[in-house]
Amino acid sequence: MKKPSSKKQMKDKLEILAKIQKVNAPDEMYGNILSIIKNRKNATISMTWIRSAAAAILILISVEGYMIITGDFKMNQNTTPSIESIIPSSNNLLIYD
Amino acid sequence: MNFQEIYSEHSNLVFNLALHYLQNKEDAQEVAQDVFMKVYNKIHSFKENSSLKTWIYRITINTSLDFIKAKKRNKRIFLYSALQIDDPNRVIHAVNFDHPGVLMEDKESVEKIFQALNKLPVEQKTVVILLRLEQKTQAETADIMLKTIKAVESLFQRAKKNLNTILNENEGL
Repeated sequence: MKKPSSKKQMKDKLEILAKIQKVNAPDEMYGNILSIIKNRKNATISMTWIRSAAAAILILISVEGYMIITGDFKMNQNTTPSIESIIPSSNNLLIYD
Repeated sequence: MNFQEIYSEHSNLVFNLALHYLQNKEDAQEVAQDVFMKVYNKIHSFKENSSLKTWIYRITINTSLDFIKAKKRNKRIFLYSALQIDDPNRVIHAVNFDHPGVLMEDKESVEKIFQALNKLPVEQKTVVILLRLEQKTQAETADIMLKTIKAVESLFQRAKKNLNTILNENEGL
């Protein structure tokens, strides 16, 4: 008896795949998706909060900068520190006889 | 069309397609959920160059392939560290076969075909799934895969040849 060709054999083998039935998606899947969406929404920070935080940080940095600049300016104007005020003089006298 | 309508129209399609790639109910559900998360997040950027169905097909195929890749990688790392095997590339994508659409009497032979199908290059596997399992036409398959009909035809011929070789090898063992 003649053996069927490999092409024919393959066709037969693949035909069995067409017998696979379609199944319905699990019922709980939609609920799971909705809860993932909800969780992700809660986990993410809204743009309003991000903008307010950025504005607050900017204000803090500007105030700090302003204070440093004006503080330096005043120090330069009013007080000129002498070398004595920076380096403490010692009162210890070591006497060698 | 709102998200709920999109879901009810495409959920079975997505789940079944993911099942064909992964042959496991739990994995397919995970992938299907991931697909709908992507649809939900990207629906506003969907350009109607192709139909919504084709777009969802593409997302499902890519998500399934990514899932398989990640699973293979995890398995490889685990086995490599546990057994200290010489060549981590030798680890094969072993599937816990659980396809609810397969009839009991066909289970053994279908499982063998799927085992061979899993060894094919991804494009060849996709062509077989779309043409034989999803019963798409060559034109539809070409549209989903962004290829010409000729390319799809040639991929399918190569896939059949390779499948035959793999199945014969397995039978010879």
